[in-house]
Amino acid sequence: MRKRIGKPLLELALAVAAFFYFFPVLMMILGSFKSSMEASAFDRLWPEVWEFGNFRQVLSGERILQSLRNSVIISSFSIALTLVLAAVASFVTARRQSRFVSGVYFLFIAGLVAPLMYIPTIKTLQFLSLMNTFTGLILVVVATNLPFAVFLFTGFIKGIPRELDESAFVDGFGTMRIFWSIILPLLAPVIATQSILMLVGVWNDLSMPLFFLNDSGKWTLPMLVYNFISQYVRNWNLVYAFLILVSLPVVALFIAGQKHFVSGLMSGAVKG
Amino acid sequence: MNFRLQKSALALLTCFVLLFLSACASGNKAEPSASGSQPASETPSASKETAPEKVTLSIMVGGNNKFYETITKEYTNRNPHVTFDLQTVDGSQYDTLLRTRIATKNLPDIVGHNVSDMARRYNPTDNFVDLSGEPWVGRLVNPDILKIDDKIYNLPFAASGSALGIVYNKKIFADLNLSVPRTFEELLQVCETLKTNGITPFYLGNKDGWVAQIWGLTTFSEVVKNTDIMDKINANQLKHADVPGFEEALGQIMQLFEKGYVNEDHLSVGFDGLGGAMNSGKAAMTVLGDFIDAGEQVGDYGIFATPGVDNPDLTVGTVTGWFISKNSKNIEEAKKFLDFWSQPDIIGIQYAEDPRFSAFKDVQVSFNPLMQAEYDEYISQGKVVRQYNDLIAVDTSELFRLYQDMFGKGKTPKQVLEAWDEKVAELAKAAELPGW
Amino acid sequence: MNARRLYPHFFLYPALLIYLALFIFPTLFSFIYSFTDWNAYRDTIRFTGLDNFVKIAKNADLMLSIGNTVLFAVVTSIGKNVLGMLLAVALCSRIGFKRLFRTVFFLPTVLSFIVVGVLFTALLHPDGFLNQFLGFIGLEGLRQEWLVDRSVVMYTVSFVDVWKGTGFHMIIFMAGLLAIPRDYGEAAQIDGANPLQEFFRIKLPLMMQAVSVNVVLSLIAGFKVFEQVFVLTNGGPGYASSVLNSIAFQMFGDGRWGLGTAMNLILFLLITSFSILLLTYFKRKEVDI
Repeated sequence: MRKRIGKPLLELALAVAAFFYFFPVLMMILGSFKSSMEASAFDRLWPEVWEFGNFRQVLSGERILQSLRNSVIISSFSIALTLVLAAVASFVTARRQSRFVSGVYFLFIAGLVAPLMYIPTIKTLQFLSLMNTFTGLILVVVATNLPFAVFLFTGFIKGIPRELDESAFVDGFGTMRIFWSIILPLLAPVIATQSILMLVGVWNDLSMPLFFLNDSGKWTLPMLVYNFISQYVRNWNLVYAFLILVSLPVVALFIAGQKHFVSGLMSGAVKG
Repeated sequence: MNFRLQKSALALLTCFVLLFLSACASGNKAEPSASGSQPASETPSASKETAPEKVTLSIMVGGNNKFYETITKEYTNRNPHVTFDLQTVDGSQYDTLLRTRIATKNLPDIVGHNVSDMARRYNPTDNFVDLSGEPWVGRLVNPDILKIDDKIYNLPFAASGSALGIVYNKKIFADLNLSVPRTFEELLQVCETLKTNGITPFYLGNKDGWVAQIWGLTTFSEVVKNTDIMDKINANQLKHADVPGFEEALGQIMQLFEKGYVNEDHLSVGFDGLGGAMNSGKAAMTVLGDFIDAGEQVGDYGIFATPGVDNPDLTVGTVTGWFISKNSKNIEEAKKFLDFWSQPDIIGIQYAEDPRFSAFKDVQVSFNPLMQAEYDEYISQGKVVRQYNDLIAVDTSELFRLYQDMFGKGKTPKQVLEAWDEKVAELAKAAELPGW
Repeated sequence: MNARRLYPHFFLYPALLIYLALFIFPTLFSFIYSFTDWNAYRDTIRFTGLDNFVKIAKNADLMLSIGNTVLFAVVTSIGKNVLGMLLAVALCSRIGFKRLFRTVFFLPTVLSFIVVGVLFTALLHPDGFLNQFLGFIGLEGLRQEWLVDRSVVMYTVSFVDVWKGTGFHMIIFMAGLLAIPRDYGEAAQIDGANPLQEFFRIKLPLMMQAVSVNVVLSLIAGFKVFEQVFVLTNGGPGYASSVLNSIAFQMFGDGRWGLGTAMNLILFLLITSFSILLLTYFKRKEVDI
């Protein structure tokens, strides 16, 4: 009896909560179809007149395509590099027991907790002449993502039976070949998880480009938004359209790959 | 034994690779992005002289007026071997960006900024090229306000800086038969009249720090006029907290808040929202300058000096202009560009879009009514006073934050001055100014 | 002996190199620089001992930022974990539309802070939707200047962060819940336990691993707060909503590098001490299935 009332009641409560939770996003979506005046008056939710031109107007600014390209470059290179380095390193940290390896693993884990020290990092990049370059930013992103990646990969590889490597080794396979043809394919789930998590993190990140890039030509999408909002402050409809465009890639990915996303996150949390 | 050997091997390897990387990176400056530079048009191949080497001048400036692009394009038209990497940065982020780039020694060829800031914070002698001998210097209307240590480091956009004070809606004043207040008591009376007639007396945009500081700035300037207060402060012989005039001035604006003469959301509105709000006619005055973004309706406004003291003069600010970075690789071309900019037909393009008091003797500018009135009432009669920010020896951006704190009721005027004294001491000591 | 050839040390070197150069070394340098007067106005650096820390302790605004940081971390952790747990329990029970709800609650996590910040700047504007709504339902008295009033601004920023981050923690709690075999719950019901008892006595202890991950992650993220503040208030008005990282950023721009690094060091110490404490606490509480 309790269960019969309970279920629809809970669903209702959740629906109300979900509506309020979704409201800001709804405001953004509806606002992007409003005229400038309507969008800036914060009293109506639903547009009176539907405007479809806002997106084209925002897209026609040349800066947005350039920033899009920058975001893609930084995200893809940093993810790729992190995956390669972490996979290779984790192969050893998961399998080998020496004091050195344990020390290195501990060093990586410590990085999960420690915050990035921005100012000395800037100075280090300057010393390497990498300040205000994509290379420098990518390397810093990789360095800060390695702890979690190594943690994730190591845990996962520990779950792959050692016998696989050892029997292949006995059969005469070299370590590179074992890693490449046996371990790597099995790593697909964590590679997916790490890639997705990193993509969301790096694509949306504002602070790293803020500290380590100075050129407006090198701006990523979030930086572009931050810098141009005040220009558009009287045109909230354009702002909303801008925000949607910036969020679209990751949101689309999320909706399409929700299953992998969520399951990857879940398994990572429970196993680790 | 194994461990130690491997540790040293790793250390050695690390050093090697770091050295290798830095050698690589500095030798190979090719960065993946090419910013918005236009492709150079082709030089005539049949020319007998060697075609001039292609040059890209990088320029950084705050604000997004169109004339920057118009003028650089024109230069490229006349000098096809030169292209521009023009970065116009939104005003409120510009300061942070410039600070960072100077701190990391990563300046573009040409930088647009104001003289006062450059002189106090950015060590022009070390960072920028001395332009005292350039051909256009002789045509300057007001070379004195550009001089830093008796040298000129920039080409100015105007003969004097923006005027700061209280911008008011002339129509509203006329409708209610109000005259421009010259004392603080008169200002209070004007506010009271406005309020009883249902008009918000002041509409302020204190979200932007540089707007929030204008009351303090204009009143302080009058307090120190014709005194040696600033010299004493800069030499660590006097503190702001000990000057009653400063505390009084800040107390005045707090009174405006207490009496309900200011818009409630003043801390949520920035410069960008002010023009539109004033044009809607719901408020009569704002604390700003002659650069108010009122579009077509700019003729509705006038400006008067902030009456912190009786019968004040108009506070004028510093001048903005082009500086050439000392480690630019294209100093000669940059100098040529500056000379080009100074020509009447070229700088005329700038003045057409953004009228200023002309920097050069041979260039005439026609003003909008706001600026014409300002010129007639104050500038031509010499009733001007230099702004406080130009007179204090250290950077004032912390002061902006302190004002905002005061408006947010986090500090009293006295506490603001005390905190400011502390900050001044710290900055002066860091820069090793004499007397600290 | 096989190990050396099969799992060679040099596999570690590339990752280690980048990690050392761009994370570990700067962190080590920061320990040193915090005790100097390193600034942008001079080329020489002087060792000044604990000067920077004394300066920080004496400065009310800087101490406020530290307090704000701790407040933010605690408030958002509680918010995200309690709300996340509630939602996880709700979404793991027998209701419909699970996928839809899950999407709605998780969506904010994949948005950028700048997007979230701009949206809430509009929502929380004195004339924005929230205040209008409050007026509409008759709660006029609750209307505030959410982003400007000193007494609420830090809570407002926390609220926005909880909105964005809860979905993530909800998913992790769901993982923990789903890992508990049904038998436990059924056995408890047969024994006459009500749902609350079932939850606190059985489910929660079995979820300790998920709880510890969530609490530690949310606290660490809370201490590291930067973009939320930067985008919503920039630390203002004045210093009312400043946090450690926003101050450090300001100091970098100001050229007070030694002091900024000292603030960063304080952050480092805060995070590491809290994490160690919490991790040991939770390790003891973990129950294996």
